[in-house]
Amino acid sequence: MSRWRRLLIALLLGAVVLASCWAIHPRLLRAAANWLDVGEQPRLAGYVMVLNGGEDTRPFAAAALVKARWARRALVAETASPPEVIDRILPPYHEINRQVLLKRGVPADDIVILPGAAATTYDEAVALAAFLQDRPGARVLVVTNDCHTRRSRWVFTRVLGDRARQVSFVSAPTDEFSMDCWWQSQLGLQSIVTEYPKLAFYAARYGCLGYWLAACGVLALVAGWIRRREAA
Amino acid sequence: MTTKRKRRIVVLAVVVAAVCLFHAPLLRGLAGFLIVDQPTGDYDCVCISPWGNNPNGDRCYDVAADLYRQKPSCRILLVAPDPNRLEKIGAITSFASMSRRELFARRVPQEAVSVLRGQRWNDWATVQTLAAWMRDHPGHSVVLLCGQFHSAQLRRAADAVLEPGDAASVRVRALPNRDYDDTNWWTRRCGYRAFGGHWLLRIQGWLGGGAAAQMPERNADDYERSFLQAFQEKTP
Repeated sequence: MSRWRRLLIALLLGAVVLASCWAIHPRLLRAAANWLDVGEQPRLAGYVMVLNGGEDTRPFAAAALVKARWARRALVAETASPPEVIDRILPPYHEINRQVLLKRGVPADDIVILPGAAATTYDEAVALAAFLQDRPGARVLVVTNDCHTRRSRWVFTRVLGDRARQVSFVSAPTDEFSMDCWWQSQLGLQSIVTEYPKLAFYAARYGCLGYWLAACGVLALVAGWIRRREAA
Repeated sequence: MTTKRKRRIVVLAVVVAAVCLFHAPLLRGLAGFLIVDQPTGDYDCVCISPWGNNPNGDRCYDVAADLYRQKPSCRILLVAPDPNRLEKIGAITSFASMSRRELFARRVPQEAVSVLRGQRWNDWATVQTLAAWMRDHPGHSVVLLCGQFHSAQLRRAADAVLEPGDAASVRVRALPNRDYDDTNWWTRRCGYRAFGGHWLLRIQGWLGGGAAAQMPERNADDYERSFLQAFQEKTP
């Protein structure tokens, strides 16, 4: 087959794939959002941990779990301070979470602040690991937004190792955009699309993705070298 | 190795070397697509809007107070969204109250501040609120403050929503973050997060999206009730 003919077929195939994707893009995009949500049914636990961010949803869900007696106490990791917190324009994010828990009826004695300066989900997993060090039997529900549960579960499993069995993840639904058309909203786009590069970054930074990519590169080089030798 | 292959390798090496050598201007150029910074010119209003629970633009209150001192006859406009759940239960101060407090601390009198009610989390809603005010107060020129990487997107929304005459009298002032700007964003985590996030919004804007209205927020009781109902109220 001539080179031009191969190119033409590849172009045609590409066009067909693109057209098909466009035709079913709402279904694809919905599936892409749903894949990120690995939240589970809550189970009875000693603690519910509110991950920082999503202050308008996560602490409300955590408060509901405490009040419905799915968990007895709430955990919040202390956060690092962005500029608006340094300028004292806004309170630190962990303080906002604590305030919501208090206002929604969780007693002050039942709110535990995990020390540190967490700036990422990884930092929060480290803070929880330290907390669970001398509580081998404690069960924890981790509450975060639906599209954040997959990455959180991945990183918590990585950090906690065997103790990850003590932890389960509960999705706090986002009500500022619809999961059926998230790509039309600014917040929806930021929440869903950025999760994928973040997942890849976490896999490379805290997981084995880098090694896998290096191994694939070496394999490709070896395959190319063998093919060239055979051709010669 | 054939000559053709050698040539390909040399070209690839040259491209890689050039990218390494000139990465700073290349990355600055990419950030340039996100930035519109217009001279303030002859203004009589300065507008501050929110981005989430935060003000849009680092040190925007300092800049607004400086602009007020340069021209004490000007007004400060706050595009303040309807209170959200956090504000309704008193967990945080409302954007309007917080902004008034910060401006007052910078010696801007309360009489110089006007609050325009708008929607949260949407550039189009911010600009629509401003457009409604400009229809009622024709002939004003407004300096719209915002984060540096947010400025091109806000400019685009302003051009799409405002009447052409009003759009020309709105100037966008891009405020760099103290931790990063267009010259060093790739060296800091918060920098490349902001860069990526705002490029997404830019692409969404080019594709014609982003203007969808935010869904009405449930109150705290309704949110908690529906959250628990999702688990079929299997109360222990």
